Amino acid sequence: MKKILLSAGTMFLIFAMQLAFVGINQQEQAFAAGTYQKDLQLLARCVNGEARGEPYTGQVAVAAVVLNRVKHPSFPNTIAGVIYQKGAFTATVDGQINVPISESSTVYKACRDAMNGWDPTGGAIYYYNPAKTTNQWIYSREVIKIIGSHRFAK
Amino acid sequence: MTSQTKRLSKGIYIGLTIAIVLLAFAILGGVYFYKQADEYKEELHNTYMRAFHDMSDYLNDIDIGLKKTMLAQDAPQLSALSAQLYMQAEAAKSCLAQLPIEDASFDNTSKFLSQTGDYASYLSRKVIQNETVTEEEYQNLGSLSDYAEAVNEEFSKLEDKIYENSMTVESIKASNPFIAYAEDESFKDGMQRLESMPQEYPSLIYDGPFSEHLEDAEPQFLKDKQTVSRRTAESVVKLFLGEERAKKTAYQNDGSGTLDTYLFSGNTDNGSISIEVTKQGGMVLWMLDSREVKETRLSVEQAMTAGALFLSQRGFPSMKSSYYDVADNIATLNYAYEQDGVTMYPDLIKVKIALDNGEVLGFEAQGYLMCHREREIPETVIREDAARQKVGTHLSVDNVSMAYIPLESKREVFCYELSGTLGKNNFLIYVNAQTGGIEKILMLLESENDILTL
Repeated sequence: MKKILLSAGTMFLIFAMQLAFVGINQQEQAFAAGTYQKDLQLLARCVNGEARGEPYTGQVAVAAVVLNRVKHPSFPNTIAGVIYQKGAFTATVDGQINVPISESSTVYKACRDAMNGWDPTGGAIYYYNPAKTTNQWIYSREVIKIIGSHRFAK
Repeated sequence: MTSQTKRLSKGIYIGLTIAIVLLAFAILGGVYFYKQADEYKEELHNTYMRAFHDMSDYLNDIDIGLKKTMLAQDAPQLSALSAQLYMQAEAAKSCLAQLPIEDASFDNTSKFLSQTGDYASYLSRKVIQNETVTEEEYQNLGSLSDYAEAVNEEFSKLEDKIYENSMTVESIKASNPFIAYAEDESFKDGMQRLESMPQEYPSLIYDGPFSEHLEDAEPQFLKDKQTVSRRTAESVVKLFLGEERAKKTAYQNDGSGTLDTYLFSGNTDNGSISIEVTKQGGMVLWMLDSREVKETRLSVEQAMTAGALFLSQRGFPSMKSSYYDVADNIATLNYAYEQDGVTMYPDLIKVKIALDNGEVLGFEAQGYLMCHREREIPETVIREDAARQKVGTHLSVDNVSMAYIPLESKREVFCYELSGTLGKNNFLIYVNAQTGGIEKILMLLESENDILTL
């Protein structure tokens, strides 16, 4: 009888863990105040997911691509609109977009520079990593800059 | 039965019970999560459907709105219609972005929507200023209207198919971040037809932020300058950064985009430096040093002086500092060129100063390289007191100065800059010195760490 109870308990624990796992994913921390700061936080989360391992300038460049899209007629007019556009950034698919970024992190600084007007890409609206993409369409875009492992295109 | 076999059968019994309980929980869990997933899927489907139907409605409204705009001749009517068009185009764009369709496959439609709203408000501004709509502009409106009709028709065909249940919004899927494909061939064909519509509307050149002329602007400051070699660019980097810091950078590659460039970069003891030099004219386009600054020893005023000194030493005299932002012990300062007491806001250079030792950690001069020239400043038509009257009595004006400001279309206008307060907030109002019209109203975002405009 003891063993039955024990095994039932174990199963219940597993079930509870499954629930908890779903719960953890839904948890999210709030950060910073003011529209500018909030935009920066969202941008930083996106760049963190997209370009963590890239050199500093490469991170500024990815942030600049997001901001160039906001200004471009072919894309939504807000930072959130651009970042959450279906299929636009893998950070929104793999959940990196929900990972809070500390304001003292490099990614955050890189995003601040992009918001302040630094654009190492020279106006790019696409970028890709040639080692990771098999997409043919993206290769048809004119490459204007190469920074780190990313190619930036118009 | 021996006690041994008894124990054995008891063991089997317990094992079986455990297995059954296990199975029961697994099934229970499975059903629970399956149901939950189903609910989420349904919810997502409804969100997509809402965006799809809204988009369809807005496209219909835009189609009709453009047709009406072609008939509207007087200013109040045209501006009312274009305000509506602008709102509908924005809303349609927002719906489009929510659909499960990849960006690349809907580039043209999105661009069409942006430019429709933009163009309508441009025409409205024009008639309000008592100008007439030209024949060419009327033709452009006609082409936009034809395109809207075609897009609308194609989209309502897709909507019919969805109502007939012959396809679903979800049948379009992402194969990777940049392109869409549809499992359902008919949907895919519909999408492609939408994008390769025969009715191409002309390149729209007008005075708005999405105008096509913005894409190939000529750099005013560089246009008559010689193209420099990589070797010359290297010496430019040396002069700009100083021998010590320049040694840490090396040539990486050529770049294009807004301007053709040489990129140099390299790692330092605590970060990295990147610097780009234009091919034409051999000017530094931007520089970034990612060094971490641990403490603040300088004031913002000291940083401003250091920045101005740096700029004049690098061949940018008469640069006046305006807005700034302080974060992580680094001040980011905006400088604009000043000619005969008039601030030239388009000729912008940004400088990042480390507040521990005054070192320049960033430089950005695209505005200056694209716009800077000696301007022939015209006589003002509007007098200063007339400009003050223009802003009314609500703003208590503290200061009036003269400035050139860039509009969203990059066109420059010569203005009076009136700064003052309304309630708790500080504002800048720009009154056109030629026409007396109010060109721009900016609110200053001031905090302990920064003054920025909005």
